[in-house]
Amino acid sequence: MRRTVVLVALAVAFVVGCAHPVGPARTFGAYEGKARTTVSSARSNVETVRLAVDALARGNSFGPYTAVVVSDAEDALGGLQGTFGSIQPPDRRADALRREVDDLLGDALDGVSAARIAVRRSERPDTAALVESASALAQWLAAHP
Amino acid sequence: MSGRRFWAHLHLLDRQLVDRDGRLCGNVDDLELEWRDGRLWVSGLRTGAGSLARRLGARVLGAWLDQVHRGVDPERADHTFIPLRHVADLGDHVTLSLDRTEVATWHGERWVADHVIAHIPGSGHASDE
Amino acid sequence: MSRFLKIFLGVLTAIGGFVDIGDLVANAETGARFGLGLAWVVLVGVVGIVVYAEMAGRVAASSGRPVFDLVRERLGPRVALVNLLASFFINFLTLAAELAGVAIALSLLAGVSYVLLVPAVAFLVWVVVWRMSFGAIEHVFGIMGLALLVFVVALVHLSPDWTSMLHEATHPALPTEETPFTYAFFAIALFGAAMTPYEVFFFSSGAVEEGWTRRDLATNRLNVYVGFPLGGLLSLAIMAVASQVLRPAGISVGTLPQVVLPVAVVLGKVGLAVAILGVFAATFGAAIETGLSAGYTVAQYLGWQWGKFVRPRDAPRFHLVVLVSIVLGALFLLSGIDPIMVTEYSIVLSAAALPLTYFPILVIANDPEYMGTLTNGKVLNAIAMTYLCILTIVAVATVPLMIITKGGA
Repeated sequence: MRRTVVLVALAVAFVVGCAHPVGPARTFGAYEGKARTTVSSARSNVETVRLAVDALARGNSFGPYTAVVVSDAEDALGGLQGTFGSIQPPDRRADALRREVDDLLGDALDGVSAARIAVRRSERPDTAALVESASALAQWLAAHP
Repeated sequence: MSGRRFWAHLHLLDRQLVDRDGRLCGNVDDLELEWRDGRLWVSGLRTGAGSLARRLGARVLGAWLDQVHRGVDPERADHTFIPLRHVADLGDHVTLSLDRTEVATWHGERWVADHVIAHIPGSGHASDE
Repeated sequence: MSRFLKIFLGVLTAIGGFVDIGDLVANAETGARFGLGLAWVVLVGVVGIVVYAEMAGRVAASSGRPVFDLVRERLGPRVALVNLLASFFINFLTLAAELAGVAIALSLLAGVSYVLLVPAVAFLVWVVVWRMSFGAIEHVFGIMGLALLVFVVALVHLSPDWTSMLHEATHPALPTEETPFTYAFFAIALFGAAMTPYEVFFFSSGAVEEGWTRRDLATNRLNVYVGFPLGGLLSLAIMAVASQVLRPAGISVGTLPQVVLPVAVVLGKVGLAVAILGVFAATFGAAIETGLSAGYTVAQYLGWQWGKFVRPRDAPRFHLVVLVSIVLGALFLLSGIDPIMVTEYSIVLSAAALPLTYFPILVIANDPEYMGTLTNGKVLNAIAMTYLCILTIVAVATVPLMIITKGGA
C-alpha cells in the first residue's frame, strides 16, 4: 500500500515536471525555437491589447473589462521577458538574438504598460506604440520561420 | 426471507445498509465469519471505514479509523459489528431492523452534525422544492 | 406547471448548463490556434456524453440509485476506491477552475484582480448550495447560461463565409505553426472538456435528488438528446468566433477575458455584458455541480446519507465534504496559481480518467438486477463499447502527449 502511494506520487511529480516548457537550450536551434515561442506569445498579448483598446475607443466595451485584459497582458509580457531572459544563451550568436528579443519584449511591455495606465485613468490610450510593437514582432516572426 | 439462496460476497458485501425507516447508514464493509459444526457461517456484518480499510489491507489506517469511531461514540463501545439477526431483508441493499442510531456510522454523523453543521443557520430544514 | 413547459424548461436547462469553463477555454483556444480543424472532436464528444448520460439517467431512474453509488457494490471496493480518488482529485481541480471562472467574470465588471473576489465567490457558491433547492439551482443557472447564445449571434453577425468554414471543419488541416502532437493534445483536451466526468456523476445523483422514476425516462431522453447537442453547438460557436476574430490577429487564448473579446469586437457593449453574464452563469452553475459532486462521490462510496433532499442535519458528513472542498478550492486559487493552467489540467486529466468513469456505467446499465427490463439494447451497447475503446486510446495517449508537447505549448 505504502509502496503504491510512493510510486504514484513520483509518477505525478514526473508528469507535472515534464509538462512545463522552461528548460535550458543547448543549441542555437533550440534557443531560436524558444525565442520564436516567446515572440509569438508576445505578439498575441500585444494584439490582444490592441483589439481591446480599439474596442474601448469605438465604444464597444467598457473600462473595467479593458483594464483587466490589458493588465493580464502586461503581466504575461513581464513573465515572458523574465522567463526568456533567464534561459542561458548557448553561444555568442545566441547573445545577439537575446538582445534582439529582449528589445522587442521591452518595447511591447512599454506600449502595454502605457495603455494600462491610460485605461485605468479613463484616458484615451496611445495606440501608436502598440501598433509599432505588434508589427515589429510580426516582422521578426516572418524573418525567423 | 427463508428459502432464498444468497451469495455472501455478492449480496452482502459492499451493499448499502438501510435502516428500518429507509435512511442510509453505511455500507457492509466486511463480514464476520465463524466456524460452527465444521462449516463457515456468517455471524454478522461489520461496518465503518476502519473495517473497510482493514479488509483492503491497510491495517494501521484501519486501526486508527476504528479508534476515531470509538472516540466519537458516547459509550466508547464498538458498534461496528451488526449481528446477522438484525438483517431484515436482502435486496439490492441490506435492510436492517435497527434504527440508524444503533449503527456505527451514526456516531460519526452525529458528531459532525452537532459540532459543525448545527452551527450553520438553516441546517434543520431541507431546501424547499 | 404544464407538462410542455416543464419539458421545455428541462431542455433549455440542459443547453445552458452544458458549457463550463473547460469548454469555454478549450473551444476558444483551439479555435484561435487550429481554426475549425478540431470541430469534429466536439461532435464526437457530444455523441459520447449523450450516450452515457442517457444511460446514467436510466440507471438512476430504474434502480433509484446513482451510478457512482453502485460502482462499489458492482465492481468491488478496490476498483471503486481508485475511481473515487481519481474522480475526487480531478473534480477538485475542476471545482477550483470554475470558482476562478466566476471570480474572473465578476472581475471584468469590477475591474479588480479576480483573486480578491475568490473568497466572496466561494462563500456565495456555498450559500447557494446550502439554501437553494436542487431544482431551482438547475433551472436558474441553466437558463441564465443561455446568455452564451450571444456567441451564436456574434458568429452570424460576422457573416462569415459559411462554405469555407464548413470546408475547414470537414477537411482538418494542420496549421504551419502546429505539429501532429499539439493537434492530438488539443483534440484530447477538447474531448475531455466535452465529456466531463462530473457531468455524469452529477446528472445521475441529480436524477435521484429529483426523484426520477421510469415515467421520467422520456423527459430524461429529451433533455439529453436535444439539450446536449444544442449545447455542443454553443461550444462550436465559441470555437468559430475565436477562429474568425482571434486567429487572424495572431492571438492565442491564455486568459478567460480573451474568450469574450470577439463578442465585444462584433457586438459591442451589450454583447460583451451578455457574454460575461453567460460566463458567470455557466461557471457558477458548474461550481455548484462540482461542489456537490465532491460530496456525492465520497458519501456514496462510504455509504453515508447524502443529498439535498434531506435536511442538512441528516446528511452532515456529506455537507461537510462539500463545504471543505469549496474552501480548499478557494485556498488553492489564493495561492496565485494560474486558473487557465488549472482548467487545462482538469480537462486533460478528465480525458485520461474517462474510461474509469464510463466503464462502470456501461456495466451497470447492462445489469438486469438494477435495470429490470431497461437494460441496454444491442445497438446501444455496440456504440457504447466503441466509445469505451476510443476513451481507452485517449486515456493512454494523454500523458505521453502532455510530456511531448510540454502541456500544449
